Amino acid sequence: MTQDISTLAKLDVFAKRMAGELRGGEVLALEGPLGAGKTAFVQRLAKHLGVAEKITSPTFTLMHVHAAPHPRIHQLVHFDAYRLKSDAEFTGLGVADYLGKENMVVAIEWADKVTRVLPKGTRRLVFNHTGKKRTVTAT
Amino acid sequence: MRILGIETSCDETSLALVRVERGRFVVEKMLTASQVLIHKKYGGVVPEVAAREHAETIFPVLAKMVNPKRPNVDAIAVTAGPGLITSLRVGVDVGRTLAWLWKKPLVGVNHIEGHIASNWLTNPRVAFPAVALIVSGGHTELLRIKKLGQYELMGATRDDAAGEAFDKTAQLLGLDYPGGPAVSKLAQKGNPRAVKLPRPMIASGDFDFSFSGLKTAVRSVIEAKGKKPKPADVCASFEEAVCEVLVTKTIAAAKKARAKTALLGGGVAANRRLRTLLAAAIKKELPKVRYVEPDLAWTSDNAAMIVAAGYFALQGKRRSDPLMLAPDAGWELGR
Repeated sequence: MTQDISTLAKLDVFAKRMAGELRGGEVLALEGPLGAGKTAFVQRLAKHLGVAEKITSPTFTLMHVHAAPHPRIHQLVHFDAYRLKSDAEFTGLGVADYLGKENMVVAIEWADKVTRVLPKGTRRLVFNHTGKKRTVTAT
Repeated sequence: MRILGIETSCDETSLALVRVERGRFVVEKMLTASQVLIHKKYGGVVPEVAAREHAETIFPVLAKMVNPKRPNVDAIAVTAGPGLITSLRVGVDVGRTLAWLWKKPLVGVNHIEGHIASNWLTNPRVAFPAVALIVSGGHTELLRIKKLGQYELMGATRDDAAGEAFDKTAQLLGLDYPGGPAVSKLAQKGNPRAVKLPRPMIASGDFDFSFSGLKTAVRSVIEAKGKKPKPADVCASFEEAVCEVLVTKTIAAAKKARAKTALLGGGVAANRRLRTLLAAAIKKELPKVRYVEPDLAWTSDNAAMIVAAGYFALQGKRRSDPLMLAPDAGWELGR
């Protein structure tokens, strides 16, 4: 299913629907080129999960953990694999402590770099950006 | 006194021995894991993202720093946050263990406070209140410093840090990692007015930043149909856009905070264009404000700056309990 997210309002609608579907334990693999909307999506997903903290890009810091006041989802864990060269570097961050934990939702930017260590049932969201049009495809 | 500093908040494993005499700092020794191990274990290739590697690399570095029989260390300062929890934990646990074994005071230091304190390693005169612009791959923050140890966060990036924008622009242009130095080098040969780029949030009236859109603007310029701009011009124009926003907001923050000193810190503080423009703007617009910048050696993540911050904390009677100190990955300074 491909969704048009060319405006921030449309991205917000998509993020809100996604937040409503989450039950805890999900892993979201976010793919797509620079500037396609991956971080912007996590910012809006966080908002709809009730996260109060500011969401910034974890490209250099690699990982941020945000508390959520949600009944089932207590933490939103935001990873970024942009700087990683191997699955081993990703595992080395301590991801096993977070992936698939029932009261956490894990969102991973540049997840296509670490696909081999993602759990079964990981939901892929592929962001795209051509000209002025932006889309996201959920698989 | 002599203080051992430990910094493992992100990629670097860095240790430093710094002597402090009547408030003046002398860095006696500083080593990072990449310097010690580069030709040894990894055959020249050190993993970019160290994370759990810190646990392996910190001991060979420590062995080169201190003699275990006569450590000759009076206190230990260690980065306790913010940073990557896996990495922070290694440094904090080593610091706690050494403090407990040697029965010496321990202090957990905030990494951003370390970047601020890097300015003191060259022993400048600093009048308070001061403002600090801390700018790196992971951080872009403006802080008001009422006096040492008292910080107020005035603003920060809402999405990407300035250093990250440099790196991603380098990626878009196919330049080498790390992108910041590569973009700056090419920018020297370019025209900063050649490519029109936005100045995000420059007139927002607050002290927050946003560099995500600038990255996207660079992408549109590169991918636009028709005549392609020269990469050097893109770099120069991009660098100018980032620096202009940083400088404008720092000047505004200094005015708002009634600052007597303006400080710079973080990896992007090594950027020459930023140093030049900030110094010039302060001289022109705030001639009474003293501008202090760190030595280039102390701009990237390092343990010497952690010692400086730790020394001030100890002077302020702040100590950490070796049995209790825990890393805090989300520790925000001044909020």
